[in-house]
Amino acid sequence: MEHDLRVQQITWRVQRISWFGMVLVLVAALLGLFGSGPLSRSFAVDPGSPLRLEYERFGRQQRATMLRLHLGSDLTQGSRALVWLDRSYVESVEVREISPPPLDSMAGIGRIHYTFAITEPGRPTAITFEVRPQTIGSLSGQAGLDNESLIRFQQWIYP
Amino acid sequence: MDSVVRAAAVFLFLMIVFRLAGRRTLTEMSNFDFVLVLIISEATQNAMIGDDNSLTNAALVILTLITLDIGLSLLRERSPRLSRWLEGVPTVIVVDGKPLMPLMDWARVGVDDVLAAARESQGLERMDQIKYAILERHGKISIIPKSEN
Repeated sequence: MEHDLRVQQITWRVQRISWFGMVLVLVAALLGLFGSGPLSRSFAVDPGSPLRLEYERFGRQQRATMLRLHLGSDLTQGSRALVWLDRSYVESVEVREISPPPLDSMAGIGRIHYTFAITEPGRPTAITFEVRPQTIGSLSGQAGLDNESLIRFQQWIYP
Repeated sequence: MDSVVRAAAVFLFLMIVFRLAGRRTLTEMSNFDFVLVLIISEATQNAMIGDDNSLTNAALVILTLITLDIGLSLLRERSPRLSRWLEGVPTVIVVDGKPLMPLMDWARVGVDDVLAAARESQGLERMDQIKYAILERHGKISIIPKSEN
């Protein structure tokens, strides 16, 4: 019987090393390197405005991810809030659900505007967009309130 | 994160359920067992994948299952005690042609099963030709025939 022990020993060694790699990938996944986890959860702010965007740094193609705009109490003084997302971002994702539903939405040249009713003026609130990224790779977006504040954010979308 | 957690949860659940079900469940597959395996795989697929059909999710689920399997095999190798609990122990069910009925009842193995195994592996016809029959950890019955002389 042919018996090439050298090949077998190399194979075993490579296997043992690859197991460590597999465990490392899983630990990274648990931490959120491939979406959903502490490494992925992220906040972007517009300096000088009480507007905060909560988003996931790592997403997956066709899998729902949240964009949550936190409006500070300074931003909800009126009975309406006008939020916008940049058009190229909206075109790279599928907007599945907006919660609460907007009263109105309008398409501009570079921005898509959504109008929301504010029931308790002067109190902080949040607006959540559920989106499914359609592209793979780097995805950059902008969001803001009225035409004043602007938040830039960057996502990485895995296939 | 959730891909890994879901896959690990399904793996552990199935491991426990199959261990509790006992070793006759999946080794000698009857038609019904075959259908059962198909349905279980469908149900677990939904639990593991959810609505995330991305390549990344599939890769993470597969990696989780394989890593758990490797990890368990390493644990079993290192700890014979754990191995006994996870995999069971071989059980002698026939000694010198005499079936040990209480054990066979517990193991859900009939005289027919032992005779079938004896025919298949050794070409034996009768119980008294069997020295030992052992129900192995993986559910197969091994037969040691009595020597001719």
